[in-house]
Amino acid sequence: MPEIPDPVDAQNRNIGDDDAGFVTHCQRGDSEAFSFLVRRHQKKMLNTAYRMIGDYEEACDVVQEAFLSAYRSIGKFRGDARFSTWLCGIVLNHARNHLTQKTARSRREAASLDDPVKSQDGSFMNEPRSQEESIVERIEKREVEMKVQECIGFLDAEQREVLVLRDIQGFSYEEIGFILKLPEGTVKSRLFRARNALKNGLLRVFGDLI
Amino acid sequence: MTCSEIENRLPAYMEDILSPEEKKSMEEHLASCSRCSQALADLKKADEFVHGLEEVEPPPFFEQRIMSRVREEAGRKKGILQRLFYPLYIKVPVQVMATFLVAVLAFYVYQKGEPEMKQTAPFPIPITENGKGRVTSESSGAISVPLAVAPAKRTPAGDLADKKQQLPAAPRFKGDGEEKSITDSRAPMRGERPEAVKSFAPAMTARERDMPPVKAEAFSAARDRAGMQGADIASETLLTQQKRKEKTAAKRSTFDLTIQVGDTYAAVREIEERLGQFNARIIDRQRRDGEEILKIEIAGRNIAEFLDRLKAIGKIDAGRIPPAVPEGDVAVSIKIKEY
Repeated sequence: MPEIPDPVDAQNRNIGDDDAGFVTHCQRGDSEAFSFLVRRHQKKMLNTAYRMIGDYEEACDVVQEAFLSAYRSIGKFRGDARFSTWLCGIVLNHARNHLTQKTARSRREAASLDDPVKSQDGSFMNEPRSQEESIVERIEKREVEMKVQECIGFLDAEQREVLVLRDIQGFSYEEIGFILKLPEGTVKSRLFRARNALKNGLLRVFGDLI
Repeated sequence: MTCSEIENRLPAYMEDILSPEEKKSMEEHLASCSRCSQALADLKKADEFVHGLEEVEPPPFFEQRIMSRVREEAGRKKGILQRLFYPLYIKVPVQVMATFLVAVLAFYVYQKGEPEMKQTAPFPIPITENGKGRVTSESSGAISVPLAVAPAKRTPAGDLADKKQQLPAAPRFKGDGEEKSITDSRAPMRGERPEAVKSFAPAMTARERDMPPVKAEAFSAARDRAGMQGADIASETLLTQQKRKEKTAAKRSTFDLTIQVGDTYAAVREIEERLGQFNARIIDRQRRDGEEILKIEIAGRNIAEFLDRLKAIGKIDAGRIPPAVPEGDVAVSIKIKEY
């Protein structure tokens, strides 16, 4: 049985080839190896889902289901792309399905722009941790982020996906093409339209961006 | 290019993926158009907003929550596998039953496939039938079987025409009157004919007698030429059954003896009377060239006393009597002939 890297060390490594060993273990039935993959990718996947859905709790549920789906179908993972890319595709699919299901009861429309994103214990999950920032600055920053998130939510789903994957998660065009099953040219043109649309949305919300 | 077109291409300009000509044209326009340069500035600011978004942290015990679901799933998967392969306390009876069934099936297949196996198995010593087309067995009580149903090895029809036929070496033949005899080498039978065979063997012999040898051979050759392999198989199957019965009968001990008397018919009657005293019975009777051949079945413990009684009837010439009288019934072939 190959040696499993130290969890802490694994968490600090770059995402990529390091996943292959854990994936192999999972494919052989070692469910504990999956915990390393969860630990390594949970934050990125949660942020992807959150930027797609706009609701923290719902994003957590979606990511949890996505990880479970990934575990069930990890035998089908052939290593054509990085594990994180493959996993992100699963998260996006779950997020897409979730958005489709909640079209009639969108919490986002009913929610106020000023509502903070809270965790189960009521703390602000996206609250900056720096103690040096003043309360006013933190509130202002949170409001800006909420408005930006609202504008991202106003984009149509296709544009939102490429914007989140490229500008927030930093995937390459090739990886985005793999995730969305699109040619790179299509990805780029869709991304440029998304950026223009977001800029126009932000202008409407803020009035002036400068 | 119009301002709208410029505005649409601004993201590509920011990515620096435009051709040099396009880039130069864009820059010239941006330098002279405040609206488009403002749009470019807004685009950069929007990009800053997006990149400046704070990452959200996973909730406490998020990994544990996920892994508990994963372990639950893994346990369910493993449970299915265990139910299929691991619980030996359940599987042992099933495995025993399966092994037993396989053994029974294998025995059944072997039994059913025996004739074919014998056909394909090499015969140790082929012998040649010659002369009058009659072969004989060492056994004095050989079974009469027409040549047409002899288990000849599959030969071309031409082989029969020259009257030389390869026969399985296992049966050994010897002349015995006008009958053609065959015995099973696996269970050499001496002096006793199985009861089941008796019922059809005489009839076959009679039929064969009616049919001249040449005619029988011609029929056999014609049958082979016509490719009647089905008839071959049927005759071989018949012989196989006959051999099995012979094998069963051969397990019984057999004695041969000859008794010389003055009057054959009177002697036969006397012997029949004696048989009643010993609770013996006649299982076959043949008359041939003035001789009477009785085949009887008698308890082994009575045979010595029975022989003493026979001495009163005529002169006994014991052909083959085993030194020790076996348990159970024995078959005795008594040839009665006149002086």
